[in-house]
Amino acid sequence: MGFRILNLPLVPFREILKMLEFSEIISISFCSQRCHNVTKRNLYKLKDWGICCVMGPTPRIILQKGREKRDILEVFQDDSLKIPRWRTKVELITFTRTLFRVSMKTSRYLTSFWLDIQFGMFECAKYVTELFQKGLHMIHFGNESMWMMNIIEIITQPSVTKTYFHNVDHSHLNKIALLHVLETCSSDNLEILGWVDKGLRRFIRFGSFRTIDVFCGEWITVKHVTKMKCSHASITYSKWTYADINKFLRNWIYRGGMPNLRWFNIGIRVDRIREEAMLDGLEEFVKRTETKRKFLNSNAWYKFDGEKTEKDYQFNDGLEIHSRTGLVASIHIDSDTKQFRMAVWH
Amino acid sequence: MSVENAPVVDVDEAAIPVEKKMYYRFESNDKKEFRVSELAIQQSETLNRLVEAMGYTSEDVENKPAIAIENIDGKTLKLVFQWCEHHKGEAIPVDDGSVPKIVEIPEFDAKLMDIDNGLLFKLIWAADYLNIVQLLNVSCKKVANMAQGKTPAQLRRVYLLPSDEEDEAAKRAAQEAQDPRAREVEEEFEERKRQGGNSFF
Repeated sequence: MGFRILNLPLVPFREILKMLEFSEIISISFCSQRCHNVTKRNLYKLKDWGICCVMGPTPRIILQKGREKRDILEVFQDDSLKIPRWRTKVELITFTRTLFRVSMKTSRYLTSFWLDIQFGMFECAKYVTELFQKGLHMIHFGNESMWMMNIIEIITQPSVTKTYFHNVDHSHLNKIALLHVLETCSSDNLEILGWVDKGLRRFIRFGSFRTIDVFCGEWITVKHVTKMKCSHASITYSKWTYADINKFLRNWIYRGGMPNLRWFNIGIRVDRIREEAMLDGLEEFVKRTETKRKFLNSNAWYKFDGEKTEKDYQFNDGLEIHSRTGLVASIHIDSDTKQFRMAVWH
Repeated sequence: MSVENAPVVDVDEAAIPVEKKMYYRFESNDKKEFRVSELAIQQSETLNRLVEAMGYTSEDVENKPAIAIENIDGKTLKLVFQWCEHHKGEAIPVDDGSVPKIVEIPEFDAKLMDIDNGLLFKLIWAADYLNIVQLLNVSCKKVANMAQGKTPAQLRRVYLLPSDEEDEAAKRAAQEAQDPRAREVEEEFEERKRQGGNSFF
């Protein structure tokens, strides 16, 4: 005999929903329109977990909290010849006039099958965001899955918190795709991981992202950085030398480049620390103080210079530069990691 | 039922402080009586408030009629009080709001809940009614565990969830029960259709 879960009082029913894995909530909501409505009405608010659309070996929707990730719904091409043997039992689901098939993966989450994989991903993203009544947190795609950027329009969301551009197979990033991401990305945080063969064109009309985190930034020039509108920029590796840092600082001091900038770090190609080369000709704007200032990271999703931590950063040198517009910034070069770091005190 | 004949739940007397050694008497809706220690009662917020409000002395407990719990039968209440006696003195857990909520089912609870789904339903209902937080947690967890690795079709069987078609049929039946004329009209319509009529009116 089964258990009449829908006959339970509200409190126990809601408790059970809290105890179910996210993938099980999806499964139960697929049982019928009534199940969907009852689940949606009684479901808790997802506080710490973010809904993410990621392009792994197959597109899927995951929930993420910090480094913890849970797969909840996979999207697969509906071609019976391609359905692997382990997908033993396939069921037909009808939802809001959309018909698709699902099966349970061994790792206990559902795979949905669609004739058009893009349409399937859009429908699944829409379904999950509506069920949990929470916007999409992140989209993760590579060269071949640029269409994922359109999800935001489909689910009628102004933007996502994070856009992550990285090929699953770690292959080189397509230059055209990268330019498209840089110019159209409107999410809060943009993270780019991957190599580009040659440099990009000089003038890029950057999107409205608030932070950018680039792991392999060999393509990034001083001109690029100074044209960015973001408040936080982190480039773990670059081709920059002291001359480039000097050029960047000059732009910041004299021209007020990057007016929104609060944090900037970049990995530079130098053998040893030569502060005088970095500050050449800028002596009148440099000030040494005893104060050790700490940069507080108010952006929980931002990591300092690829360290993948969300810790605060303390400037121990007391080396400051003053811009002509009256801004003050602490700067420091880490001799071990060869990272130039700069925090602007607004 | 007399006090002497009442099914008494096993009690670990050593765990009860001497000054609080008082047993309350409760009666289920099928007139079964239970003696439960004061400490065990504290697991139930509802019963704890009730006995506090009554302000019974040891004499009152013996002389006055047993406190009636009218919504719960003896079989369910026995399980509830067995659970309360076993977990007496334990702190009542506070929900930290994290999801999915992690609940471990201790061995004793697992054995206690080795029951059919009908009785499990009643146990959850009772735990909710009597506001026994941890019993509600473990019993709900048992139900949540039934969903592990199940597809929607399997979940429909496990949780007796009607399909859209079944819901639609039930809705129609309910409407017809309310308005018998609607069924007559529908039957008449079907009959005319069979006779080849194009228009109902």
